[in-house]
Amino acid sequence: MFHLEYDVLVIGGGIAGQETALNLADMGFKVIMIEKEPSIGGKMILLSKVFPTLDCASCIATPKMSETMRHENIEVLSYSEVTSIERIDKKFKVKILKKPKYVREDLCTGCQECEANCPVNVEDQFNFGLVGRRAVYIPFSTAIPKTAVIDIENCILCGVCERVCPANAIDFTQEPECYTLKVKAVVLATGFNLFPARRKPQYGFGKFPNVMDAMEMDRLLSPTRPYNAVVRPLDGKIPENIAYVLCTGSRDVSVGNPICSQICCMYSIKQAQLLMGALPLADITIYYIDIRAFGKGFEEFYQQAKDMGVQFVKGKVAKIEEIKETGNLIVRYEDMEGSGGVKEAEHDLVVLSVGMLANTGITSIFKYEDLELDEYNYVKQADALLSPAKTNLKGVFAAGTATGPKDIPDSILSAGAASAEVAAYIRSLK
Amino acid sequence: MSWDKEKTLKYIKKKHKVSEEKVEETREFMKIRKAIAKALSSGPKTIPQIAEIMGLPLADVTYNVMTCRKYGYIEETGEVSDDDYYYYELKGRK
Ligand SMILES: Cc1cc2nc3c(=O)[nH]c(=O)nc-3n(C[C@H](O)[C@H](O)[C@H](O)COP(=O)(O)OP(=O)(O)OC[C@H]3O[C@@H](n4cnc5c(N)ncnc54)[C@H](O)[C@@H]3O)c2cc1C
Ligand code: SF4
Ligand code: SF4
Repeated sequence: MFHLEYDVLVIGGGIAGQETALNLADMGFKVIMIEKEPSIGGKMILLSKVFPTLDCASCIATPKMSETMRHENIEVLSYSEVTSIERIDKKFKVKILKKPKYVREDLCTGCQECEANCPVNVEDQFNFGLVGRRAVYIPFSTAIPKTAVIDIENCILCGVCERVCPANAIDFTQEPECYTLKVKAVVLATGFNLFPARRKPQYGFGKFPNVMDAMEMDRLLSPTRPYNAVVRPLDGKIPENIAYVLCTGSRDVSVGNPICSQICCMYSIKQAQLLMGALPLADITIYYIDIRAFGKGFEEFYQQAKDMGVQFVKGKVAKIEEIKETGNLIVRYEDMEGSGGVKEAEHDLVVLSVGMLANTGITSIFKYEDLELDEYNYVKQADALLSPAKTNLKGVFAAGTATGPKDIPDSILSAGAASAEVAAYIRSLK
Repeated sequence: MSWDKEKTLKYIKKKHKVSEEKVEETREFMKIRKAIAKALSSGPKTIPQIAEIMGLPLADVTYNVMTCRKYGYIEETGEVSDDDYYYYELKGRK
């Protein structure tokens, strides 16, 4: 049930937001979680398997998502945004906008009858445009809440969904709803943005169909894979010779992102191993500047990929060109070992290992005070060593990749720190 | 009763205008879907074979074939051609 007062507002329902909310809820705090998408889950629920254990991502993420949704101390508002936060004495006044789904969440059973009959087709954002989706849709099969949403901008108001819905859940009378509530503490768990590969035009992403980014490849490898196989986006051909370009948009001053994204080396090695399983005959080459395998089990994971036959080429990729007749790609790179010089190699699919960028979406919601960001636009940690979750604003904390690049284990650790710091803060208010 | 089943649609139709462009895009998709079904009516085909019959760019055909696959209109047969393409066939859904 929806209340007007909570202990903690968690913004963002990715793995870091869920972990923070669950920790706090288990301690007895009342939590409200605001997620802008129609489902919680963040990036992790869209992944295939996770490094270095190769556990299935959705097998870990889905139970946590349902626990978050069902916990008696957590209220989840999906498809919602925080529009302002104002400090009043020791509390915060929070304004929330809940966008209309045009589907009654209390009635929808997730049967997808509406989706099967809707005539519209638009790019499916949860499959990064590799396939289409309807104007009425359930974001993905593991979505939580598993209820439909109508994308009104693309709906042609044909009325079919309302006619076929067996639960009478379609409701075009819904309007945006605004709520005002009070909380004692705020946790920013708004995650990261993917580096848009189009910002490296020399790599041809968006121009050459067989140049894809790593998030698309993770989708192709996941259990809910959009092609039901690993095939090329150009023509559905099973690839034989796949290249990875590490550090696409990371450690790169030319795109204004000089820092390491900390995940790309390892997720590329993960994907290479999964590809060797899915396509035993394929050659996989990883072009790298250096491999950063710093975490527990990472070096062994890297060695395992080498033993499986993944080729590692120390080389900086300068340009990718397409061979028109075949859709294959010529990768031109500066050889950083061996004989050196500029070299070329032909591949039939190229994956760009895109990095992380800060998500600056919530920085302007604080009224009469400014949230400080670091030089790369991530939420600045006021005391990174001793209280890693504290921001410059008292009572406002951050978890996960909102403060900088992290993998899933580190995001979960940071959520643990955030929950402990929030609990101590709230207790200190008494 | 159909009037009862469309009761809230009337409400939104009064305040939300649908662009002609969206309607046109929907018609286009339906045409493409039918053309894919027609191309497959004579038997399973690979994406380049479907694209040749339809006279559309390969990447567009792949996107549309995969979308039709997602919505259960077609499926892969499990066979792979000598040049490494899956074959797709109609699944029965119209
Ligand atoms: C291709 C790829 C492969 C990866 N593979 C692995 C792997 O194998 N192993 C591993 O450990 N890590 C992997 N990662 C990294 C992993 O995805 C991140 O560590 C993890 O998703 C971070 O979680 P998060 O909750 O901080 O952020 P996110 O997953 O980004 O979640 C943030 C959430 O906040 C929501 N949100 C954002 N802004 C707002 C707002 N203003 N209001 C309300 N809600 C908002 C978002 O919709 C989202 O649900 C991979 C990353 C990529 C890109
Ligand atoms: S809106 Fe109706 S038809 Fe669509 S998924 Fe929900 S219950 Fe099924
Ligand atoms: S009314 Fe809109 S969402 Fe519903 S079936 Fe028609 S186009 Fe799709």
